[in-house]
Amino acid sequence: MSTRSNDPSRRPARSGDRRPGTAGRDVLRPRREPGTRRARGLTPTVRARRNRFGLIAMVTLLVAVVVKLVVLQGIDGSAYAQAAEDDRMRVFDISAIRGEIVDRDGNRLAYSVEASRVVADPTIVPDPERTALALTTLLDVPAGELTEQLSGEGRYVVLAEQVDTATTDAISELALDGISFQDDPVRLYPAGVVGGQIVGFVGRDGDGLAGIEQRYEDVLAGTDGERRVEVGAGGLPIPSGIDASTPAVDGGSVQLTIDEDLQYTVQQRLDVECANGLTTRGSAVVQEVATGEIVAMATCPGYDPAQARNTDPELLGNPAVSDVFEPGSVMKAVTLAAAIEEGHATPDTVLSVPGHIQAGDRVVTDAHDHAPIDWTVTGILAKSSNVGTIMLAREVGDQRLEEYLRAFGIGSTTGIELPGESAGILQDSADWTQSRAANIPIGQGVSVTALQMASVYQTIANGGVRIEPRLVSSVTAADGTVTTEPRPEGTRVVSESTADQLAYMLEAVVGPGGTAPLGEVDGFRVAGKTGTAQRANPECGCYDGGGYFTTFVGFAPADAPRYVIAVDLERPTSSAEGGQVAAPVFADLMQYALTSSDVVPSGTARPEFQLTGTAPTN
Amino acid sequence: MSATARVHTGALRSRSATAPRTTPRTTPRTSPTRRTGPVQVRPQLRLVTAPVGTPTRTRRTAAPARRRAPFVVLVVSLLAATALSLLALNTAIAVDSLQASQQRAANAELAQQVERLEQQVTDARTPAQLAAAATAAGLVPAGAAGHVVLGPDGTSVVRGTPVPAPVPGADPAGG
Repeated sequence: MSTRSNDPSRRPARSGDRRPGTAGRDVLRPRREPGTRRARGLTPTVRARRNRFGLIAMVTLLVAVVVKLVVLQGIDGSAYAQAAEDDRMRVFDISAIRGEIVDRDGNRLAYSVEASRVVADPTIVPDPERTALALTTLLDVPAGELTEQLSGEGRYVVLAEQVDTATTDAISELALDGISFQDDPVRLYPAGVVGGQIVGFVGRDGDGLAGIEQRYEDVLAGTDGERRVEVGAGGLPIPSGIDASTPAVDGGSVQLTIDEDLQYTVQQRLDVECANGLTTRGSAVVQEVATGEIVAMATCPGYDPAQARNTDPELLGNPAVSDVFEPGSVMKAVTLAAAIEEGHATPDTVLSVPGHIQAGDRVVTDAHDHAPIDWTVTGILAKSSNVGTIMLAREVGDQRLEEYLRAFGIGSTTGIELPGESAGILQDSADWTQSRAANIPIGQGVSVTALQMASVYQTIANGGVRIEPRLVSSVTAADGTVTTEPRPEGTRVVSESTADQLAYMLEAVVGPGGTAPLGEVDGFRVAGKTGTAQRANPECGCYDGGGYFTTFVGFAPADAPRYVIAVDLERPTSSAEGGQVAAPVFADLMQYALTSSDVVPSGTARPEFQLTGTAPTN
Repeated sequence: MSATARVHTGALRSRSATAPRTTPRTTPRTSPTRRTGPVQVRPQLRLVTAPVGTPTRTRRTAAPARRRAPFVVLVVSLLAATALSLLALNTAIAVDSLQASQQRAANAELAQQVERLEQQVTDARTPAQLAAAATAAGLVPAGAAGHVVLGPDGTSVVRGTPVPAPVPGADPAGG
């Protein structure tokens, strides 16, 4: 207001009004009309116009401010707030530690430890060469390579992965600019090859790619967490700022039914076999009779899961469950079980067995052709007579035989907790040709896995009740809750009496006059069966020159079975029989298994067997 | 508005003002020179002495001024105390936060140490390592074991066919 009254523009105008001639009259006149002292000197219309203009200007400005405010706070508000927060928040991933895989005694077969990925931001690294020299020995990477990486483009280069904590501590002490760490847990397999095929391995990103690692990925993996930290200009956390962490949920652990010591022994023994130049592949399965649990399962050559990336992919399977072979004579136990269960034979039934038998367009002979011999059924099994077994199978009939084979688990997966299990091959009996109908009872023209073979003999050893093999005993979640895996219900395949009679006959195989005296275990009674099956030659698709699969499957002690062990060896260039090759492996493994489990021999003597008799003349 | 009222208002506005000070100020306003017109009918405004209540009022207005001093001191000291305690609190939080970070780092360091030691134990306990250590210590794998079983009558029988272990070193491939 005061500025207006001091406005110099008005005073000259007023004084200009005073004409020189009227100066005398103006002396007594007040300068202004009374009551106009506060007048602005403007007409009311001008003043009103100015007021209105001012008002409009102010309101326009205010409205603009309010609109901008609403836009900032109301409409884009969250986005700006987010952008501001993003600018000062740093998110660090917290990797969940993958769960352990342990054996039945809790020994670690696979576990993870914290480790770091060493990364660099080349735009911050002040002197690539010096930094590279500082890191080269610690990271075990050539200095030249590091220098190249550190001088490269971009803001993120990985210098080394899965670096252990001791090394990262040492690097931290160097306080190098532009070098930082990210969680990168490392998976360790302390036992290496031992149990490797069962445990499996993880890929570069830590996902299970084989074995239990793959099958139990959901349990083992856990859930990654993150840490959100408010940081200052230098990237350092603000002490009183936001520091919110979503903790990682570590993975649960899986306990196997495997006994690591036995697994080691099995692997060692098989490796000896694989090293002899004749065996190209050998598998062994050790199963507990009463529970169906797999105590050991291995194949040579094995692989070390830690070295899976550098291993021939052909070897990265678990042949004991995924590879099939023709079992040969070990299958005769199923044929005889069918014959006994159906009432066509007892162990003492005597048959006049010729040296060969016509089967459709071909002739099946015994291992060595012979004149007709009066063998008991026990003798047929002990001598592994093809002809005698085919004679019994014909009495059972194709359809019934197929039913028994399927009841023993042939042709279907066992449901073991491993990926890639094979069901084997068993054709419908309706499709069997005459020659196939003669081959299947003696274990040719039918394919099984080593695991299935063990399961057949577990059924016999367990009094005719088949319990599907299982490998996982329990799962422990990260919070400590233990879930015991349900044990499969047993299914009765043959009567207890049939199973007992079979067990009795199988003992004869290892006894005097049997095909596998080498399968004997000092101090224990052993029941088992050899197998020598022709191996299909992959070059011609025929049996010629394919060599043999030699097998031995058995259980001990025969009078109170504890373990079933199935051994099969692939020997493409050898004609040695199962009794000479696979039976000793079985005996060594069974010896160790029984001794280490403190199984006390019953002390009872092996019964006398009647292998031959007088065939009824009819 | 009467002069008295003006005086009072003035006194209220300037807390330490007194009546005499306002007198000269009011005089020009009531001066007859202000109106030069012929209308002299209205009685002229005169200065009157302050009413009886004035001194008490003055005292009343002065007394709160004296009593406000502690209040101001209180407010100022409260503000200062708040600022100081806020500072102290923030410092304490920062110190705690720093200590928490240090403790967390120490904790992580110890956890890593435990992990490293456990790793050593695990590695040393694998069957292969145990076998190697046992062989190095001159042990050999045991053969078939014999079991001495006591009967109810006190007699004992040996079950199994115990085999003496091979002489260490004699058969390095054994086992």
